Amino acid sequence: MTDLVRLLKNLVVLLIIGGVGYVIYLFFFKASEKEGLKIDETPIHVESIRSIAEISTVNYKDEVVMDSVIRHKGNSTWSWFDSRQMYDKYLNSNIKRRLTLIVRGEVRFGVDLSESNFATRQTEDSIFIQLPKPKVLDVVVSPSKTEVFQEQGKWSDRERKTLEVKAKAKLVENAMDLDLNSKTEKNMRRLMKQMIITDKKVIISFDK
Amino acid sequence: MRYSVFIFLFISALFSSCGEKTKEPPKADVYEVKDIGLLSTSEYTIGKIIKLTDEGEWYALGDRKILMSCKAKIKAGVDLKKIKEGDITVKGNTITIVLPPAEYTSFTMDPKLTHTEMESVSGLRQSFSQSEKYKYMRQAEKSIRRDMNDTNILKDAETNAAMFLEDFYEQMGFEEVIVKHEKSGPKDD
Repeated sequence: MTDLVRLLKNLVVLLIIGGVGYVIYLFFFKASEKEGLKIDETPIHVESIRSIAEISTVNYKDEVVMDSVIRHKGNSTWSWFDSRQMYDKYLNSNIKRRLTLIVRGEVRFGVDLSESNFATRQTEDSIFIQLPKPKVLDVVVSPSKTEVFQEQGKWSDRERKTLEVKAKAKLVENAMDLDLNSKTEKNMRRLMKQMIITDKKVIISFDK
Repeated sequence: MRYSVFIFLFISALFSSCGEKTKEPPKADVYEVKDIGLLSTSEYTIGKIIKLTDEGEWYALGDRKILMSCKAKIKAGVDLKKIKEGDITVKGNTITIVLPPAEYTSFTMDPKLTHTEMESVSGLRQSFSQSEKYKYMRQAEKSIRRDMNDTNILKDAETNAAMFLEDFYEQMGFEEVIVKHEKSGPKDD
């Protein structure tokens, strides 16, 4: 009976010590993400100005989920002494670090006429217009349309950027799967015919 | 004593292993394909420095500072789909076109062009997480979107659109091309 009382006493004392330790950790060590942190007001600077002539006729809007997982390696005896690793191994699918981004973006298809790279030819009853091959003109992504779904462990800027670049490539890949180049050509033909008011027949073709 | 040591080790292990459990990533939403008709005629690359000092609460030991740089690529032009019937008129060899007001056609902040230039963490503070950096980048984006209205991008877009269409219609055989712009205030994309 005396042993049981001592055990309970010890348990209570150690729980208090643990609790105090946890509070210290929360206050002094754990990263607190203050909602109210505001960046300083700094001016914007125009770095370059370019005259372009791009006609976009198809907009593809999508969201992709990019997930990067780093697992614990090896199975040494020492890992038994690492409680964090043990937790990850048995309760967290052996995941050491994980970063998941949800990237919402737009892919714009159209033709780039910036170099005046189009040609026209006229006959008595027709106008022939030769346009460059449709392509992806923009992949529109921005921080406001990107969400960090989860971040476990420490991630470098380089690793995050790699994930973002893959997300952009994935958006383009998804758009390409839908064969949007032919839709771009179709829309471009329609748009050009609306813009050119003539009694002649308008024939539009694209570079191969 | 035996019990004490055992319980102490157990509690230590419990606290040190307190971690967030991994969540399964969500499934992406359905895509959307839309027909558009945007003529982009001006492209500005705008840079901004992101500066932040986090002194923390009174109980936090140390502070954190970060300096980042970011770039946004902004395009402006006219929405050709907004051209109404009657906006294009032809009289002999003269064509008159009334264009809708210039607007922003795209705003991109390329992740490759966002860099952490300096990061300083002192005392017992933890370094900046990627989630935190995103929060600051979002604030910078908001600030660029607000301040870009003070640049000449929309005016340039209107001038360039007129130049492009003059060249385009001249190649179609028109001798005189008159481009007019509808007037309106600046709009964000």
